[in-house]
Amino acid sequence: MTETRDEIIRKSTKEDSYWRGVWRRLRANRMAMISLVILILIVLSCIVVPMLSRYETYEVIPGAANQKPSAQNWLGTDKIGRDLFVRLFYGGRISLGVAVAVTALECVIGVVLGSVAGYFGGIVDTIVMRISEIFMCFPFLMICITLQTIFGKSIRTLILILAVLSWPGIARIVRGQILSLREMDYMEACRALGISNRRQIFTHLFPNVLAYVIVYATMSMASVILTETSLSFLGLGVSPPTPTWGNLIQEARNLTILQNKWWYWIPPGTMIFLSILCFNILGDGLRDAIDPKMQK
Amino acid sequence: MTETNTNKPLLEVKHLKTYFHSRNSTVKAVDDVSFEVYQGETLGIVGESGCGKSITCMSIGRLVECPPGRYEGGEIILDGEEILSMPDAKLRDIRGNKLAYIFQEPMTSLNPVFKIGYQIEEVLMLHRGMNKEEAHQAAIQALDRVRIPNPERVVNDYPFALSGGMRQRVMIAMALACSPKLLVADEPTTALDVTIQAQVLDLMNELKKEIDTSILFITHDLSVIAEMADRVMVMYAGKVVELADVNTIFERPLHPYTRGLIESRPDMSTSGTRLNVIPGNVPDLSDLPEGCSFSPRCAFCCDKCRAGVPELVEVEPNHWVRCYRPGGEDLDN
Repeated sequence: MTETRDEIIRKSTKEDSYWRGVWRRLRANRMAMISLVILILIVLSCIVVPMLSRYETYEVIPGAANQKPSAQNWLGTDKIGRDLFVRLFYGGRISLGVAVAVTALECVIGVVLGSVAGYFGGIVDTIVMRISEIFMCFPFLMICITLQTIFGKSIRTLILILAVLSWPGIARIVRGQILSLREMDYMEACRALGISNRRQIFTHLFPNVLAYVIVYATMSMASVILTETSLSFLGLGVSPPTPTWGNLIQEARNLTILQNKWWYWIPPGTMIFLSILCFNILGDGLRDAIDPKMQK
Repeated sequence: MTETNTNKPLLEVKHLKTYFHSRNSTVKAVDDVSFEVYQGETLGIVGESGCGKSITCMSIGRLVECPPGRYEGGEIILDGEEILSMPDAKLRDIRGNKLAYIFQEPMTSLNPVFKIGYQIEEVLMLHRGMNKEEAHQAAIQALDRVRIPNPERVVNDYPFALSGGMRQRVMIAMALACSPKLLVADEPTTALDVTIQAQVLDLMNELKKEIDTSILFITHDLSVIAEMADRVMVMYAGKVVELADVNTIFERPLHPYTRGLIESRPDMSTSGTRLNVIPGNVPDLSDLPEGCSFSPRCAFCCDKCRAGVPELVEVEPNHWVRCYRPGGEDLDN
């Protein structure tokens, strides 16, 4: 079968559409692809391991407290006899889940406020940006403790607090982009075609900043995992007995465990380290793939 | 074209004033401009950069950003409806529907993240209430109408895959998708090279006949005006200085500025000699000279010109001039 000239042209232009180009450049970046694969493996095992394991997350195995890793308990057991292998991956579900939820919420708030501020400018812009500055000034831990006291300690509260405290970052990026994009000729053309403000912002401008939002979201995943870990370590995050990577490390918070029972803290530590490293490398890779001009 | 003048005008602009206010000055970009565009005619607006021709056009669709711009007065009546006092929602119905624009820069006037087809379909879905499938077919027809080869393929292309001339055709297809009554073309061929320019102008003339639209054509290129316009309006420093049909403008220009423009064109007979120029520069619109704004550059300037601003006067039927000494003579004598 010979392809007609049209089909060849169609194929080549399709190959070169925006997102295909991004994917092609990302695929060429070996580090980013390794990170992506590791992340996919982590996510898959967090989903699959608790479903297949013969132990339940909260199940206490009688007479099996403080066991070293063995054929029955691959990563040993904790001080009351719960299997640490299943808790590690179940904790991953919570940690990653919180990270996804916070990032999503933060991006929604940030993108909406940022685009409205950038699009309308003037007084709206001033108000939104001053509010974002106020939010950036809050001492993080203090607000965290205060809000958790007021609203009660739960995963949902934690997600809300983290999202509400972190939207200014993305809002500022989006605002800056929209400020320059709204002056483009095609936005002038949009107005001349009778397209409403809301449609101009969310249908015509948003896809133009989507790339930046994706990069930011990837980086934000890493920082939320880290924040949740630190908060859990301080006892301000998700309450035990729910496992998270931070909570698992928190249980190793004394010298004897640190020195003698490595299986308490090395595995969650490794997971935190790996996932954050991979999210950051992937984020860098995405940024280079999306905007090749930014590469050195 | 004089017979069309007996009809009711499609667009009437009366005493339009669009000013820009900054902290310590006011720029009178459009100052008391009045004109009409009749059904099926092409009115050309010429003038140097910064003479207010683009702002006049933007004002018609209320596209001037406010602030810093402000409509200080006047009326714009398009097909019986007043634009300046219209609510926003109603105005959005008119834009892209009865009133369409083509801009100067085809390279940046299409959103890079959408397919060509989508950008045309959106207008049709918005103003014609078509569904996705109907709009898609109509978009293909619209591209076909502007003589784009292979429209079924081009609808699925992204803007970067097209050249400047092709993009300008797409812009024209978009503008004409809803068969507007008035098409405002703001220097549509300035960014194109000369051969493509000729093709695009021919295309606009053909389509104008096909869908019986009126065109308001802005340019600073007199040869383009000669090819396109039925009547010509010459603007200087935010004011209309001469308005007449195209032959009169080129054969018997009366305002010294119009004469200057025509004489400063390169011409076969004068090749090898220096070009004629109008001495001086366009005045600062926030600090206009006393009297006639053109007086400091005018060869026929007299004391009267420096003292007062002349009115736009009909010196012969359908030939309006804003000058005390049209054609270098004194009106009083």
